[in-house]
Amino acid sequence: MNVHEIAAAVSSRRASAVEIVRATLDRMAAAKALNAVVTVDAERSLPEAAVVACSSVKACLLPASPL
Amino acid sequence: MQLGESMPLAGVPVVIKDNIWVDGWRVTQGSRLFADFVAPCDAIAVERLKKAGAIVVGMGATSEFACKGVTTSLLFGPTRHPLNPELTPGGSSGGPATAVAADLVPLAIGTDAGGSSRRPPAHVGVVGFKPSYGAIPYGPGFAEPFFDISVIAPIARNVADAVLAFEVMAGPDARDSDSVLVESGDVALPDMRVAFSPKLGLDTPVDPVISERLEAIVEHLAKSGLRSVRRDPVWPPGATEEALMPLQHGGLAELYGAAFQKDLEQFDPDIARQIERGLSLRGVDVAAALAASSAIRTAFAAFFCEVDLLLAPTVPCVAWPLAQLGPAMIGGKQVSPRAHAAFTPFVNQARLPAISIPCGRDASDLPFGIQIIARRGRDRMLLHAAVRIEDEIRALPH
Repeated sequence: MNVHEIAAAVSSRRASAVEIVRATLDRMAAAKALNAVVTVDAERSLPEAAVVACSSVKACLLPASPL
Repeated sequence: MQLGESMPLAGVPVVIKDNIWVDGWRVTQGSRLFADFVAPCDAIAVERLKKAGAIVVGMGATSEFACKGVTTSLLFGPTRHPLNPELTPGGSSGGPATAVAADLVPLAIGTDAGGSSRRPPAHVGVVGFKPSYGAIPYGPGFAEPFFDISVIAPIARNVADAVLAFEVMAGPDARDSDSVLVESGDVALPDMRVAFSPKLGLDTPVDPVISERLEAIVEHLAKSGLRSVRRDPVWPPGATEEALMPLQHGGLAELYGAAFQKDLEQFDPDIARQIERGLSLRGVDVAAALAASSAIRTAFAAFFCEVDLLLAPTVPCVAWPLAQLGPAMIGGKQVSPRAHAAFTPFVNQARLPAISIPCGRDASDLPFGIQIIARRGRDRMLLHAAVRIEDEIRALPH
């Protein structure tokens, strides 16, 4: 999926940010021989994805503040 | 994240080049000197990406201090081309570009001080956008060996994704005194004055497969209503990339000369040579390089008084073997190791926006790109045109 598709899928809860990040980490591990990504920290990325998953749902449900 | 705020990048995994600060992450610049450095805060661009919902999933490989046109370092070794592991993706943002091209992530953020986030994307077949200097705030982060030309640059699979990332990161911030607002993009495409320069006005070889493909693209664009005139920027005498190199070498020497003199084993030999040259420079050498930079800026300014968009190759060749700094031959001629980088650095000196879009492949199926350049501050107009040009290139048979 491209950037627009992922953002739309997560915002509409058709996809989970945590699952997307988990799949990304798996792909990066499988492609280690390319040496494209030199530092990975799943213990930081996955909790951040969980926060986004929660926030994006709330962001969709509530209107933007006029302030 | 406040309730009710929009998250245009909700859940989007992003790789950040290993020379941009991400709070709490090890960020090394590909250097043994920074092997254990942990960033104390986010760069403004990263802060904005996170606020928009992006998730940092890794740091993308860079050459040491982003000062080399291939991506390799003593710390991590070489980054390999996603289509052929015996080749390099170029550099210095080879890690971020390869991460996108190999479908590891849909978005990566690089830096570009001489073409680092346009050439690797061109070599691996993805989009790299170098915004105007100041359009995206720079830092907080490492001191740069370049003088006010390096920018944060989104790398994505298509222009629309690069636009989205740019819009999230763009806009002034008080912490970066050089950060500026960019103009809106409401210029109608048919009204644009477009120029095509097959060699950017430089006396440098280009592989025929690239020249021929760009000619075909320009012809196709004309048929679809985007007409261009053939026109080269006129460079002042002595304006060459070589004339500019004292800036980078002097910058490296100023930042790392003392560490180099203490223990040169800590440095990539190619970077060590640059530092050594920097340490031997005289003030007049650096002043001459600054004068050359200023003259290039003036020449581009004159050009963009009469033209809105400039089309040119991003690279004169496709990817080359991993162990070499550049291809030995381009266009059937023996070339210097930096000849592959001919078409990008002047854009940085003039602080202009430029985007590289994949535009073709050679007989070995290796990609190359077309570069679209505009006046400083007209990033949105450039991106608007790039979306259309990308569509037209996709419609053109190989």
